[in-house]
Amino acid sequence: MSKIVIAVPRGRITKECKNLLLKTSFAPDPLLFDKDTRKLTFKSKKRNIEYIKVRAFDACTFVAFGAAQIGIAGEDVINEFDYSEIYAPLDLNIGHCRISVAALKSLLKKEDPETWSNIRIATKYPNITKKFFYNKGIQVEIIKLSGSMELAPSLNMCRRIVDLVSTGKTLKENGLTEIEEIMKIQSKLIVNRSAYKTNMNEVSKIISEIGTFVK
Amino acid sequence: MVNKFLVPAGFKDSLNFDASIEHKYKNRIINYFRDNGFTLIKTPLIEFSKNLDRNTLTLKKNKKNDQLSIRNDITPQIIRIASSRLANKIRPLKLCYYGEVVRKMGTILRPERQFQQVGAEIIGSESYKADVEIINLAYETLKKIGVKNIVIEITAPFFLESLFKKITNKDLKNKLKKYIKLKDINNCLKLLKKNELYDSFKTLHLCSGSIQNKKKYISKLSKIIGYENEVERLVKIANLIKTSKYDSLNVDFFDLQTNKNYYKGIKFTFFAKDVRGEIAGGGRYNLKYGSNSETAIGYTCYMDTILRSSSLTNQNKKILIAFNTSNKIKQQLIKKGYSLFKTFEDNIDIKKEAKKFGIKYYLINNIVKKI
Repeated sequence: MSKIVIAVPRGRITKECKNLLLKTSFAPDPLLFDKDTRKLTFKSKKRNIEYIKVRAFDACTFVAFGAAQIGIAGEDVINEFDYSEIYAPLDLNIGHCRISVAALKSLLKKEDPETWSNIRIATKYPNITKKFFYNKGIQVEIIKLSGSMELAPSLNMCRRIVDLVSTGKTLKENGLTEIEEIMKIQSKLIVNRSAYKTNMNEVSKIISEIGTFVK
Repeated sequence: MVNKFLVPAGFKDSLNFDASIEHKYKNRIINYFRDNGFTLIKTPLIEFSKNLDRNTLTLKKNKKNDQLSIRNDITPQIIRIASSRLANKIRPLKLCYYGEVVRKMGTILRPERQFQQVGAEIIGSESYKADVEIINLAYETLKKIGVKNIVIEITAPFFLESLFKKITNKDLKNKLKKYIKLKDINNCLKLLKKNELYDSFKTLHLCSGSIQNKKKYISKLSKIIGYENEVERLVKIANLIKTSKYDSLNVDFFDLQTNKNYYKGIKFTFFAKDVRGEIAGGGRYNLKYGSNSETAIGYTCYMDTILRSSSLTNQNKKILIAFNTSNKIKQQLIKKGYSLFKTFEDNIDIKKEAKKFGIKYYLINNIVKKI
């Protein structure tokens, strides 16, 4: 039996991943979900299946390069990297949120977003952002940040951001207003293309077992 | 200022093992095709840009103001030759080739921009036996160079394309393509609920997998989608491809062409367990020139991927010998697979000298010794 590595993202969907994966016949060592552990690789109930804990933004890259054969990743990350070597065959119905464009409230008093032609945006999603504004005929200059996007407008780096929005509370607390939703997001099970082709039986079993526990 | 030792991104100096093993494998592949009646041809590195597709590295215009590019794929050159200089040669033409190709841009998954491409084409035969010959020869060459746990995947893009032609709603078509690209059958079928094509898409998906397990679904394919002759042809091809018990033959009709979308008949791809990406592939395509057109089937692989996939280890046995070793002994050593490294120094401890150069074997009193 071939070894299969599953990449699980740390961060906001840890609890939902735990609820899902602990029900399976290949449940990971519960230590995987412990915030304080520094371990990165974990055994499972099945000898040939192992887990790795990775940054949510890196899950796709680990799977695309074949370091992990299966993983969990948000549609934001899947779309941002758009790797040709990744399949995403299953919606996990967890980690729901959206990617949106937001701007300073004060800016919106002065200008109408319909009139934008060349704008600067802080985001950690340069590809999604460029594509979205390209389709609208708007030239966009990207400031690539990895976090704390909401700070950029208040510190005059730029006046608009593209970021994940869940409740909208963080935006509000930083004087920002959501202008337009770019896409709805949820987490998906992702599979390395080569692993899917060369180990179809085993990979399909894992996909369908996880599928049975998706609410 | 650029450091003079740097090479541009995506290019590299291939030293030692990589270069020699690439040379050896390329020869094995080419020689196997030549042994099977394929004629080796050589094409130029530079072409007029209009003959090539995107992602070519463009050069300065020549004196006549023609735009020139470095080739990024040899197949279009084969098409050019088959439809011009070899247009009147009796068919089928069986050609094989190798050479360096260069790309303008690399990708995250494949940053390399220069590779050695090796391939073979059968031009002008519609017979399913031509498909079988190319796939079987390609499979054998991969085995010969130590690729293990091979999966041959056959796809037929025209099944999906014919279904898409029946969908007039552009938005639905785009969404379906997106989900098919992700292999997300659940969302695909959700979109097609109450659509007359629901069963067709479902059947195509059910056909994916090992050919042994999917024959009953494939036999139903023509009843639901049509293409009776094509399905029959596909089954014939699949039945004649023989794999070892460690390898397998799969079919996947639920796969969209992402690159090289010129394939018009079957398409085949080779994968190997624990090797990233596809290792080789090919398919059937049409050559068009003037008012003429003909069919061809081709196979191509890139040596950098092949090197990553091979399980063979460096077996090059280098041996240090004295400069005046007799020709007879040298020939015997070469026959035994040794690669001779002659020292230019006289009166030296040959064992110490071999150690100095990191050479495993040395010859003393006409006897081979290992360090």
